[in-house]
Amino acid sequence: MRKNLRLLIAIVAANLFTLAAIAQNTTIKGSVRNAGNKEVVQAVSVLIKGSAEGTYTDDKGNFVIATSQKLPFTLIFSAVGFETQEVSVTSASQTVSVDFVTASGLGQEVVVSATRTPTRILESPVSIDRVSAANIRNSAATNYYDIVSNLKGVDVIASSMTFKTPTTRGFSGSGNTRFNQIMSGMDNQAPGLNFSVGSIIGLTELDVESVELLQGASSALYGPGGMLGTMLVNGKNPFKYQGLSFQVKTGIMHTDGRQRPASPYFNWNVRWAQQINSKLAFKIGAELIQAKDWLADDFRNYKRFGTKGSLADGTRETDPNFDGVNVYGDETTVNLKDVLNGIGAAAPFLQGYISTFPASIPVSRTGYTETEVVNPNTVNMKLSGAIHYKLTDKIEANLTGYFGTGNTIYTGSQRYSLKDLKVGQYKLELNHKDWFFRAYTTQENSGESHNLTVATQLFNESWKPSTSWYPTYGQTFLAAKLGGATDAAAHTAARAAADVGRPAPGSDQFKSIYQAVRKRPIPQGGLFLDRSDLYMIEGQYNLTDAVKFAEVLVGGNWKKYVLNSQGTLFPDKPGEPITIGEFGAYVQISKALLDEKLKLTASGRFDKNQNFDGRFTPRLGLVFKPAKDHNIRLSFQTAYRFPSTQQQWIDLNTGTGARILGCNKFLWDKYNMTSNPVYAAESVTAGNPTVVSFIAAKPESVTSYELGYKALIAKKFLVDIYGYYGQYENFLSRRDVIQKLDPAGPMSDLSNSSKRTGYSIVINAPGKVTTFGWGASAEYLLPQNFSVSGNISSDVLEDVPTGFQAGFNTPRYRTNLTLGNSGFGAKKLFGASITWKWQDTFMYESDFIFGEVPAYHNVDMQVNYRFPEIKSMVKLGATNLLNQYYRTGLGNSSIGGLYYVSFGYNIF
Amino acid sequence: MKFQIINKVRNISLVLVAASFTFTSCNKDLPLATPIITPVPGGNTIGDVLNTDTTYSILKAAVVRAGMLPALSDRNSTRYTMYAPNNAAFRLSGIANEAVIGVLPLASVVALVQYHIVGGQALPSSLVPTTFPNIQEPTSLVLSAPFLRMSTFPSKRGASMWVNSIPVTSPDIALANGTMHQMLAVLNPPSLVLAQIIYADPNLTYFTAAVARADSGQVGLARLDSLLKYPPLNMTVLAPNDGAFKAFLDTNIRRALIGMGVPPATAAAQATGLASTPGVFTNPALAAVLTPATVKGVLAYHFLASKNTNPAAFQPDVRAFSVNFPTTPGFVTTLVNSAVAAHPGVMAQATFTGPFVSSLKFTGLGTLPSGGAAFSGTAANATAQDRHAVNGITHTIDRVLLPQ
Repeated sequence: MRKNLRLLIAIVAANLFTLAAIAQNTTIKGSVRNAGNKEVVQAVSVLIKGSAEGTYTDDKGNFVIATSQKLPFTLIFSAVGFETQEVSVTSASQTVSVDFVTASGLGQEVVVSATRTPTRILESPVSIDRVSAANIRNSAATNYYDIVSNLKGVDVIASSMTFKTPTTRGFSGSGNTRFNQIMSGMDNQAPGLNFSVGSIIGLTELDVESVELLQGASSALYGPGGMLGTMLVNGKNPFKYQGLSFQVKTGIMHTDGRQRPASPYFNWNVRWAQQINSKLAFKIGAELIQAKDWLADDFRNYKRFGTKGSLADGTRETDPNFDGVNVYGDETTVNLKDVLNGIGAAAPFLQGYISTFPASIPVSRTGYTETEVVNPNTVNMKLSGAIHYKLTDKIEANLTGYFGTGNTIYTGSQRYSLKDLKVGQYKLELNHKDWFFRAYTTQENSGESHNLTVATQLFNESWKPSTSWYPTYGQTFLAAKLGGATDAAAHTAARAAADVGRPAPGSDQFKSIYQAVRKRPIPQGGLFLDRSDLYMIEGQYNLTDAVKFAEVLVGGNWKKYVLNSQGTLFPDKPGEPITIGEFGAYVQISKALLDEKLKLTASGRFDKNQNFDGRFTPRLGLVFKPAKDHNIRLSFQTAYRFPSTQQQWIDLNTGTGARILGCNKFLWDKYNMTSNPVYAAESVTAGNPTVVSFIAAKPESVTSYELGYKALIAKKFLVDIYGYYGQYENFLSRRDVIQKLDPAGPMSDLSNSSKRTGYSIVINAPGKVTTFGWGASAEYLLPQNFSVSGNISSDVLEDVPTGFQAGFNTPRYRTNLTLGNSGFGAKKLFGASITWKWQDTFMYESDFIFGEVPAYHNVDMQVNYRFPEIKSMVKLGATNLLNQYYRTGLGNSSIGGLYYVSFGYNIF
Repeated sequence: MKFQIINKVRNISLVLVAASFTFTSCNKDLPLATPIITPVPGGNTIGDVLNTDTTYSILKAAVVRAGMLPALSDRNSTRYTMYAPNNAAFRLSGIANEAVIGVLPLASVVALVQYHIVGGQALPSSLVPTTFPNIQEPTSLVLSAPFLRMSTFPSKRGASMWVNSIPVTSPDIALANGTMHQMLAVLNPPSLVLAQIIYADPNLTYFTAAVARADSGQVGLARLDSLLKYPPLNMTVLAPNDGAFKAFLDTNIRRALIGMGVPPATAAAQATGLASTPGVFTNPALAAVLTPATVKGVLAYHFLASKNTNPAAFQPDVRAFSVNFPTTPGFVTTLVNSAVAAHPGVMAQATFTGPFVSSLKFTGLGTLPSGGAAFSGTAANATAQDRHAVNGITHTIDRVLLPQ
């Protein structure tokens, strides 16, 4: 497969490079500066009117155009935030100097993701938000993913400092498979691990030109996955953004010593782009983040039953079966009564006494907290590079690679330490005004990533097997009881005796055992051997010039997943990966009517996965412009999602009594679930075991309606309001089932934890699940460069069948308020912003944990000062200024304050 | 001008910071794990009752002397089932007052008190089985040699409850740190094994000699002697007294002699002579008649046994006090069943007078002389009941029971 792809790339490249030979005979030079403060303006588009030829100003504001066009001609200078200017050029010797006049950029940004044709954000047919490089520059956030969380309707789940997962329209979670993250045109969902790796592997901060966020199933153009939304992070073209840039952020966190002693935060960023000649340009970039991560420190007791459960009272000291949320290894539990009965069999004179104890005395092993097992250092390194080559005036090719590695913590069915995770994305892309072609691959290597629960459980087994730990516990317990102890006192004595010699966290003994266990592959250890890959080819053609009567786009994609985990995550075998093929095609037609007052867009796509039937999903949208700068949008959308690779093929023992299975029939057969039937967990609890039969899982679909209004009033007040209603069908979820270990055993085995096993299987939720919500945002430009902006949004889930785990995980209300100033002081060189965020309390349901996430507030703030002479900026910033710990999901890290100072050179 | 602007900046920052404080009321911190609070039980402890109820003053004196009062008064970390003889019970058992407790050897008082206390649980009478076998309740008494925890054996029939063979006068006195069962008499802690009791009994010399005969050529736990001496066991031995053996031997030897052609009158005289000492079992002249196998076959019928599931075999592992036998004739299995699984066992019947057994009878399958219908012979009466040992209990009976 890899060979074939390489060959294909080579052939395409070779064909295209031969096209590039065009005479050029006129060279125009010039520069652009800001009319107000006389600073140079870079990345200004300089286009020869009536042609496709153009260039950009470089980091010194200079530009050079070599053209075959005949003089005289007109140059068009344009950039966001400035009024477009036209300059006539009559002589090649003329040096063109342009004084650019700033303009209100409110509502003027151009977005391409909504329709894949450049559209003013004000006129987008669907809800879209945009974060520009300037927004990133002027934000207090340490990571551009955090800025996204301040957009309306967006939830970001932070598994840890560097692992962030944004979502819109609810159903958020740490590894959201219903929300697409597209980095520079590449879907960056890890093919095997299924989470989107954008925040750890994606673009470096200095290479981000813009982030566009589409809410809901609003686009047919980005594959079938984005039912809830799509986030596109667009990189900077090296032709446009040139020169060396760097940024050094140094901060301090854990200042209150609550989780750890105060520790430094480092974030270094560098980007270098250079145009070699009018055809060739390149960029390279790197980002390194190093810090001591936030800790997940929820030590409350959790009662598990398979993958479900609830928080409960109890501590290690007061509940013999304590299972702390962020305490690992204590998931191992045994009914002490079985152990005592074993003692009774060997010492019959105690059997009668033992028989007076309750039938169930669950006792868990002693666990270790997350602090004690996780490497405190989080490191994230991103490397990127691209070569852009203009094959012709109209076709630009690029070869781009992103590579990221690091340590971070992720919450899935358990907490995972993603250690030395490596993900690379590499693409070859051809762009033309009317079409593009892209081939890329995602190469995933889970490195030394391991499951903290399983690794710590096996650590305990490695130190002292349960086969000897529990007898010691049982004997001591019994002796204490016979001596007159209460249950509590006997449990305390028993644990103390069984834990004699327990390795102290951080000791050499602890480290050596833990290192050995985590490096052993599942199921002997906690290590994943995931080396899954994705190969994708896609293309699009704009037929507008051919059909004339409307804008028409057609496109298609083909992808192939290669799941390779050596049996640690999927049921594949070394050398025999599991493959999944998928293809899709789409068409989009737009037509402006009624004197451009009404624009209709209709699109549809067809997708087919080798394991599932194909389906066509249509979408319709209209934008009505009753007056200039007032736009009403209305859309009907359907979307369709195939079960993720894990939902199809995962085969993972979680160590909590449940094996997580994908929906493929192969797995059903592998565990003999037909000949040795499985029973619904809740029916076993209710004492009326009901057999669950195999039902082939279907892709899930959503139908949603949306109404929105966007207006720019007096060029100073931008408002955007939306409301939506969505219905999900065949919602993909999970349920727990129980199987007897001995097929011939009595039904009572189902209630005996040592005689049964559990599975979590994929199901389509019966009936329909309804969501609806609304959001509103406003931005107001005040005098003296002040601006105030805010938003409020709400998402609600309804019609959830009882007993069904929806995982909506979204607060009913959340709001943001930002006050900023883009230039104050004598020379307008100061800038500042403060952002307040609040979100409501909500129920969190995941494979890891169920429970309530409390409401929280957060304040971020920054003040910056620019040094125009040296093109630099110093920023003093704080995220979570008040150091009020909050968490975005249950079992996830508690996030505190981070205070930093940054120095940036040539950041634009 | 510049100064003013800096001031302005400062003012703006102050406003921003102030605003941020008004916006953020404190985030709720993650709730800490909540300990499960086990409520400290209210009401009197066992110790409180002993301290305040003067009808337990002798028991209190014993508990105090044994140093157990603090533990029995601890409502936080202890649980006990206490068999509580009141003063009347002590007197019934021959301990007239507190002063007697004061002069008894300390070790005896400690053993006595410990044998009345089961740790770690408050056993309600509802958990006591109403059919045989009894529940075995290990007490606080641990013998130092052999190192073994002594058990009590509560049982219940109808509304009546016993511990071992002692009636409970008032069960289920629920207290903060346990349950008291008031006893009619003191429980005697066992200190000897069955062999020590039986072998020292001048009335069980034949039984002792029979055990030796049955064991000849045997080793380990196949020897009845080993069973009688092995402390961890839990047996019931019906020990026929010397008179019983004499009658049994006399009849059988006589029949054997007549069978060999000896005239009846001579045979009778010779048989009586031969049977007149326990040495009969080692008499070479009778070696062919009283073979170890024959003797063992008869003795096995006097060791009660129950069927175990793993391994599936009859084991001498039941301790039947007089009060545990049925009031209407019923059958109990014996070690004979380990050879003949379908053997009906011994027919037993206890007759109660009040809470005590006044008459305990056992009937064997065989008759003396042999030939009678099954279980048609004269019943053996228990002449001494409930002789309690570390490894079991023995009832002395006045006839040898015949398995066939």
